[in-house]
Amino acid sequence: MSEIHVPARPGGRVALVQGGQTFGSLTNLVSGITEASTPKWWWPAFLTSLTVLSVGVGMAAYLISTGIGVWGLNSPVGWAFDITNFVFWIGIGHAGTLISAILFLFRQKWRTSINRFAEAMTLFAVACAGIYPLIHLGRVWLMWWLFPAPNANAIYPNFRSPLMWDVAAVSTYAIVSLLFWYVGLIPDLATLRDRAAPGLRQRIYGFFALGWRGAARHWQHYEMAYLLLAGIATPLVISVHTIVSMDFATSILPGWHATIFPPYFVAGAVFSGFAMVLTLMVPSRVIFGLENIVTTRHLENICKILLATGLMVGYAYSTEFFIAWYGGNPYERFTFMNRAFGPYGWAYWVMVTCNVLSPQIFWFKKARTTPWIMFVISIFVNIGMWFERFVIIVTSLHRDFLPSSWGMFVPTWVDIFEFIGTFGLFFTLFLIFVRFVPIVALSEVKAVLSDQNHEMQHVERAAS
Amino acid sequence: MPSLEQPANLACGQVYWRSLDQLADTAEFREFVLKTYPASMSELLDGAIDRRKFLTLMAASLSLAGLTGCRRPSIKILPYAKKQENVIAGLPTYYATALPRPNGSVPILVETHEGRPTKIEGHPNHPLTQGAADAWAQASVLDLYDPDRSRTVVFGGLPSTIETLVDLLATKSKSLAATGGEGFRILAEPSDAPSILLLQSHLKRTLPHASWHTYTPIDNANAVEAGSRAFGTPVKPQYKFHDASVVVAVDCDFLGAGDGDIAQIRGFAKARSTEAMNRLYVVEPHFTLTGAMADHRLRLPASSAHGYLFALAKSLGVMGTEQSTWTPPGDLKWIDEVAADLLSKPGQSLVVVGHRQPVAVHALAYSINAKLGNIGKTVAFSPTENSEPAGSIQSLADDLKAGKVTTLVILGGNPAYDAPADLGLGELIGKAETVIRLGLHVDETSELAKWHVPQAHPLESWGDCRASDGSLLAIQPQIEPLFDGMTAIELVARISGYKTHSAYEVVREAFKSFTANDDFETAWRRFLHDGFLEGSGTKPQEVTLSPTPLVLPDPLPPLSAQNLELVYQRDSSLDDGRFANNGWMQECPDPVTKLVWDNAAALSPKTADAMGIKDGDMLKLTLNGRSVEIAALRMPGQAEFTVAVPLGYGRKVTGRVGRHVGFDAYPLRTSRSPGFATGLTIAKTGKTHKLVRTQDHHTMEGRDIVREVSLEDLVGKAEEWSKHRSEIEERGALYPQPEFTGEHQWGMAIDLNSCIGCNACMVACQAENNIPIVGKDEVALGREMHWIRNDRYFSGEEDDPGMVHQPVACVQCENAPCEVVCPVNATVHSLDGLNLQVYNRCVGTRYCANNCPYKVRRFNFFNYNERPLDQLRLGPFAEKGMPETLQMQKNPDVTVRIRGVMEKCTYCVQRVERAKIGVKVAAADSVPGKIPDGTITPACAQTCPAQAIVFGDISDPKSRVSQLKANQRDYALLGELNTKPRTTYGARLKNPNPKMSQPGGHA
Repeated sequence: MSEIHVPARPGGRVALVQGGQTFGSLTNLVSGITEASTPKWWWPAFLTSLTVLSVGVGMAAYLISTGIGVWGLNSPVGWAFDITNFVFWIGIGHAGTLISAILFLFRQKWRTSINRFAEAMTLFAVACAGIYPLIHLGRVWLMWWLFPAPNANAIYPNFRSPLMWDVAAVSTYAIVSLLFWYVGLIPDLATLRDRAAPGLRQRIYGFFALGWRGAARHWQHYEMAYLLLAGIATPLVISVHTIVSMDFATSILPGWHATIFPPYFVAGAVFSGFAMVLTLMVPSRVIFGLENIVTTRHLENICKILLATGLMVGYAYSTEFFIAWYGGNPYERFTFMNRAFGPYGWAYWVMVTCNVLSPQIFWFKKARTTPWIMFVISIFVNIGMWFERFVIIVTSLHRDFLPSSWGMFVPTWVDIFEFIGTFGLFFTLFLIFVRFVPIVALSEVKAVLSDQNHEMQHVERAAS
Repeated sequence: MPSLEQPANLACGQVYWRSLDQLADTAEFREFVLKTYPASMSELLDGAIDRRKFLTLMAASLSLAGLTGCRRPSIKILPYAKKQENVIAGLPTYYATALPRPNGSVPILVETHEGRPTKIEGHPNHPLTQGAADAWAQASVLDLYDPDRSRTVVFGGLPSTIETLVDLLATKSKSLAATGGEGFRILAEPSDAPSILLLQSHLKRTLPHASWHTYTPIDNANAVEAGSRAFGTPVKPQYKFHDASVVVAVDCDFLGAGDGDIAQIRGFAKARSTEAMNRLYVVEPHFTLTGAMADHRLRLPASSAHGYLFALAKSLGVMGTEQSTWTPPGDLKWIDEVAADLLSKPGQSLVVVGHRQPVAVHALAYSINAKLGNIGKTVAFSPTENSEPAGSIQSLADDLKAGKVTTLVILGGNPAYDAPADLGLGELIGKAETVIRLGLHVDETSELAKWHVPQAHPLESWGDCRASDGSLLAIQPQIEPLFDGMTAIELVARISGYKTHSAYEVVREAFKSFTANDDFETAWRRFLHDGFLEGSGTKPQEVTLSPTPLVLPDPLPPLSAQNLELVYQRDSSLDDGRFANNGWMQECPDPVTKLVWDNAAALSPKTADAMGIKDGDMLKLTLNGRSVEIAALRMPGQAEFTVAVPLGYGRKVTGRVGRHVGFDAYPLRTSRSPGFATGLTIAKTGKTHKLVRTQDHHTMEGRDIVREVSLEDLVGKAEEWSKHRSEIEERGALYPQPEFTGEHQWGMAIDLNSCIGCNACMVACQAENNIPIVGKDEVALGREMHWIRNDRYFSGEEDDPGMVHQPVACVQCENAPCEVVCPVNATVHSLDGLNLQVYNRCVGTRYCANNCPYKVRRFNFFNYNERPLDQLRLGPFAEKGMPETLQMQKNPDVTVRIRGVMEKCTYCVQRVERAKIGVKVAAADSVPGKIPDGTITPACAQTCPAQAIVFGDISDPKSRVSQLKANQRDYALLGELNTKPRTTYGARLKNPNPKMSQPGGHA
């Protein structure tokens, strides 16, 4: 059954696992990435990331020791790069759980080869995002006041504040995502343990494999746990960005105060998350030789999602403008005119070009199946989604109700290097991940492979 | 107001905060350090030394000399062993005193906490101030504590001691007495203080060859001179704006810094109330606060003011104006209609001319007022006080040039910086053998003098002075001199060999002429207690116009890009430069341009466009061969081809705050044309300068922010107005409203019809609430900390717009957007309706500021209180700690905020709470009653010269604030957002002449 590329099933879909893989070859392929000697490119890449990360740490140290003033924030622009970057990273951290949980519940099997990867990305993005709400506080050393911790003053946090909801939503999301990822990893960690020679490596993987033996009882519990976690994680996918959007939507600021925000933000988050998956996946599958597991069909599916969510955010942009006009609120009208044609108009048009126009190329199959095109578009979308948050936050704040208080925001070098530093954190974690953890969910792909083989047998039988 | 009569040792028992300095300042120690370490002493001189460095130096010196052993001096902070009379720990004590000024001194009330003056208020009982004070008076307390004040006597650039100086003065006094004062000159600021007049007459008697000269760069000398010329007797005008129904101001900023005065502002505000609305015509070269209040405003170069007034006089039929041929640019109505309006209100009109205009124009205005029957009604003339006519700075310069001066004493002022450029005083001062300079700071003049003597601040001195109405005011010390300063009285008394050297004794001596001898002590004690002498104001004098011919306006070549007019402006922040080292004033935005930490040459947009000039372009201004470089600023509402430059900037020698801020225009200013000059040329240098303004957007974007309505519409369309008000009816809120169960419900009403935008409230708030300054770079980022700001909007055409002001502080929304979003409950509502900010609880998410539609919340982006402003970005590597003297200014009832914390106005909650406690204490065991209306005044309301801000209990329908809120002009700013603000505004009224067009059209 080698070299079968004929449509395997009605509907013209190609097989999810290609290249005549067997269980054994899959295991070798995926485990081999962590077992082989460190690739030559890894150390330079890791050290570069670590250096960039340390720049970010340095910026944060400077910020915390000196004051928020080292950023370009001011009055009226009380939030700028801090919350822009927070929402940007949280948005990226959306794809993982969506792929793992929602697509799992919808029995989208194609998810299996990319879910591990995407979940890892989610965790790292949430880690990057989590930095900002902390360090952007004027007095970060008192951040524990945001938690409902018992204290001598008997003062509780203000549960009316969306920032409180945010603290709860993001930390819940981070914890559930981590658990979900880890639970999914257990069988694969056991595989690595079993393949390792006795020694430290075996003991470490053994520790994290939690004594997994692959017994039927284990599988039964595992499947149930995974299903339950998927069930728990699914509403979180929607809730976390809904809550993030409420940081804005519950305010009275024109440009923030909009009921469209929750779905608009969720769509945007899925959009940006999938874009980032694509950005990372396209080069990784070549570097690690995973073309047969993460196939063109996978990438094409992601492109389709990008196209769909891109249209959704485009729709949201136009709805915002329509409502600003139709609602007749002069402040809101002004805000949107200012957004498109004011001093930050260029940022708005960067956003529209990247988010709405650039994904339109995915109407063409050629674009959806050509990795370099999708890589370029994914970068555009990443840029566009960063600008979306920048546009929402900064252009709404910089000119609000009283023209006397209007101002401008210009980022300082600390703003910029802090942002770059978060990429250092992201890639440092990511490089550790690809080196030590199976980057494809082996056990799940094997299940897909076995289904596929069954189907193939049916097809062959039918043909003969 | 207890009097403070302890001349010998004023601060006994209250000196603990400065024991280190005191130890350091003993004469022996100074001499010792001086002899041993002259280099280190010069550090002391600059004021650049910090406490730690000083201690190190001191410890080293002490141990080397083997004086009192090697222990660090112990500092003890002790409670009062004996209770001080009138001092209740924790409660402030108030003393009446005065701030001397060359153009009319200000009676004030000083709030002191445990011996530290912290806040200045206008004198509540004096008819002139009635509790109000202007921005400069408010800022004076910061001058007292300025760490850059000169701290030691300087001789030839090196530190010396006060003892050496006293010896020198004694020697000089003897040698001068021997020659009858040959070659002895004193240069001082003009003063009509009885003690100074006493010393002047003593000087004249004992040292007949000596002479006393006066100079101050901006004064009303032309008005006085014109009085003498028009009426044949030395008189000065006193305007009664509250009696004037039609006012024509010709180049006269009688509400602003130019010619302003608290009493004038209040009088004008009264005459502009709904009941008796006056009409104001303003003719001026550049926009002023007076121009902003105008019903009709004509942009006219200062050099054309004479022509305009002459034409107006002709139209009014003033004798001797028949030959006038001047016609105004464009609108003839500006003569005929104005004249008709003036004539329709005989005896109730007023024509005023500003200090910049020459004597002839003032005299012309007097003739017009006489013609209109205003003299004795809206303008009174009173005799000038100076019994000893003083010499001018010109005659001093001549004497110096001729080598006739051997000893020159310069008391205050800063002639080396601000004297007319043509005198070349800078070079001449050095010609005198001995020059003794008394000054608060080491400045440009001190640099040229052989001797510099630190001057005692008025809050540290004994003295007397006269208010602009001529009433006698007492100056009494609130604190022992911080830096061993000397007063002008003491210095003159010593060098002229007066019988006593104590300023206190001299002032008492001078006071004797105001009282019968037998009850002197009682009168004196009462004088000190009251701070002024009741009934000592000058009485109006009957005057008759002498038949002197009017001076015809010079035919001037028309202004053009090659022949521009230069107008010198008295700066609203720095005055003539005397407040250059005052951070509050530097950061107080100009009410018209909104510039901070800078001045600029203002040009009309048309002129600037024609010459290709943009904001911040550096210009070279050349006038009669002299030139200066200064940044350009396009200012709407300015006359074409007129360049307005505020004076007082570009100081080269002063403290750390004022050095190299802005541009010095004095080098262009000559004694021939001190007000304005034509023949100016400008050229772009190609360089640019960063100008920083607190407001970058100047129109209201058609929003309902400042409401303006004509008197006609208010009366005629009253129904429409009430409908407009009720449009914002009661609306629901997502969350339950805070409970307003407090006994009082605080609220505020700000009448935009009275507010002139003078900024006094901003500085008062800064002093009361320990608000830091942040520096030019931070203001550029929009990080200024003012809790109350003055928004200024233009309306109409860019060339000839209208201007309105609106003070905005936290409006204390009942439905506060900030409270909902704070995650840690750091901003909450009080039961009496205050929107409180709990600094200790704030973690600094800044969400409250984002969600505040009024943008009144201020965030501490850096540790503005603890770090020097030029080292904010150095973080932990910056110097830490506030200079000790500045710490002494802080109001102990208000927290000094750390970085990372949000802050804002709370209606001066510390004053509210003090009043509540007071009522409870007074009630003792019985049930405390309500706080009477008017007991509590927030700092802004208290100081407002126009009385535009009223605070009180809105649950009491009889309170003043409730009555104002019931007025049909009352409206809530951004009320449509359902924030339910407790501060509401009264719409501004306009009273245009129906026969003329309005500035800025309808807003």
